[in-house]
Amino acid sequence: MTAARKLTMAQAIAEAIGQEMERDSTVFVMGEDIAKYGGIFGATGGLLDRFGPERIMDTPISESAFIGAATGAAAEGMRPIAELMFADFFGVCMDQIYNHLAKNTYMSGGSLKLPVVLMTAIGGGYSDAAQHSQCLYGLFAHVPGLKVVVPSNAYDAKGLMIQAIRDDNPVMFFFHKGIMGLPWMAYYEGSTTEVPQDAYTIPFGQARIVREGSDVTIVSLSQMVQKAVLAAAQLEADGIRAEVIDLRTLVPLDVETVLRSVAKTGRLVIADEDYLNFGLSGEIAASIAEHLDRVALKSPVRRLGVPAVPIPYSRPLEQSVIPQVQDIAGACRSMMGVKLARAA
Amino acid sequence: MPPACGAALAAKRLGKDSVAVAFFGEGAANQGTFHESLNLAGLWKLPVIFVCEDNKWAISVDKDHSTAIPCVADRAAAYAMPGIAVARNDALEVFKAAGEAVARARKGGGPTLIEVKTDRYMGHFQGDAEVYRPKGEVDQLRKDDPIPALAGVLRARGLLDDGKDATMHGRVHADVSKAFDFARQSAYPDPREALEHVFA
Ligand SMILES: Cc1ncc(C[n+]2csc(CCOP(=O)(O)OP(=O)(O)O)c2C)c(N)n1
Ligand SMILES: [Mg+2]
Repeated sequence: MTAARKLTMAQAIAEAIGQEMERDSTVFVMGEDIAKYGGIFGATGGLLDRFGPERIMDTPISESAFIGAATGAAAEGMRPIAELMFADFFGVCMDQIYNHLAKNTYMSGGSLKLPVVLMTAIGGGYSDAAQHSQCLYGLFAHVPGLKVVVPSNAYDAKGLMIQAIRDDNPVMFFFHKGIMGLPWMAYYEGSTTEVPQDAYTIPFGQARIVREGSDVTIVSLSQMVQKAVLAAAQLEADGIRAEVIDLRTLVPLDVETVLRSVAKTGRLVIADEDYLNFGLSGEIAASIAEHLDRVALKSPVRRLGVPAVPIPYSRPLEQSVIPQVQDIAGACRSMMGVKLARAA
Repeated sequence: MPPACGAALAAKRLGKDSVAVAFFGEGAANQGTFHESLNLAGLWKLPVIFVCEDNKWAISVDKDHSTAIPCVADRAAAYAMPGIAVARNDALEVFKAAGEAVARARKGGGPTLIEVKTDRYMGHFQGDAEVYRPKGEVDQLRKDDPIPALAGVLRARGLLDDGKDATMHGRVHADVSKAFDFARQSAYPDPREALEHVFA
């Protein structure tokens, strides 16, 4: 492989798309402000100049039409990438996503392949209020028929994007705005990483152990991985060794890596930026509960996520509902020395 | 646009003479809800006015690259309502078209689609470097700023003079700086407030 250089996550995603477009003439991109602007969060930066307006297509603000068109173009042999500017906007086009894109392969008895990548921006932390700050990946993972990818850094984003484009199924690719490395928005620097020039893939369903530890497992994804790593560093100073796991994909979900880690540490904190109720954190906790024959817990499972309120605009309110580094560290500390109730 | 249809429906059912007005950009006019709302309002003869502000840009996408026909008002024909295209930056024409639409709605004549051509002077959001926009476009557009143009018309008709102009400007400035002062001097809210008002 040629030398790696540091790329932001936005640059890594754009590079992945560009390399696949060079390799495969059926790959093209549609979305709002993705051509001349290069994507509001930079995921298609520089691609218009290289590939022209027939393959890098700005669309009208008509998400149902162009996301549905991606489904149709895929059925006819192309490999479309569509960008939904913010995950929050899925409401206007959800029928095309979950009733058509996600179900047509199944309803055709497997005869239809729909290699569509639907990428979208998620996350809060920068005062963009209730309709521009949600994560919502749990909602799409809930629906059968969609693979769900949620990278935490540039290296993973490139490999997972190339994997997504080559996959013969619909893949939803969620990038958190606060790790894209944009010049106009604060971001976690851990997300800007060395990225090899050459194309490479990262298989779906393989979580990554970001940092090894023996006292407590922190399961996280997306920007929350960067926060978990900072929390783990704080905990180390207190003599608590935290193991940080980056799930990388929700569908498929690597339960095995989580189980093995919790079997070792006996303590589990799930650090998530999606809504707490009925979502990812509950899913992970449930998989532990279903495997208590393999895992001996030393403390009840702790879940961190957004409580059942819309994301507020005001900074201190927003910071209080989205789990922060100190919340993760605090949850881990509070688990040490806890005693479990015993069965009679 | 759908909530405006609902407000209009409520006005009708509750026997009020209110008229609902929905404002949206030419970019938003390519949402499915635009067409659904126009059809609903046309079908139910709702007292609602749809005002499309056509400033040519939807973030970085200009109307020529987003809309199959040049005039959004032409779409009204498909939904059994008048479509009025108002000349660019002409406040008096907007006033006239709006007055006629309100009168029509109150008489039971149903909805109106008004398309107003105007300009966008700034980026779409904080941090928008407007790399997609031809250099100097805004300087040209500002020459047709409707606010000084309207002031000119009012002066010519004897409705505005230097004294009134200064009073009005002073009042607005005072209101805005009061709002700034209030915001700057107010404490941030208590984080616990984040959990309030999810339900009524
Ligand atoms: C369903 C949906 N899609 C996309 C967006 C993102 N978005 C916000 S404003 C905007 C452009 C709107 O352009 P226009 O309707 O012309 O209004 P203008 O800003 O020019 O007044 C876009 C694409 C959104 N808020 N909701
Ligand atoms: Mg506009």
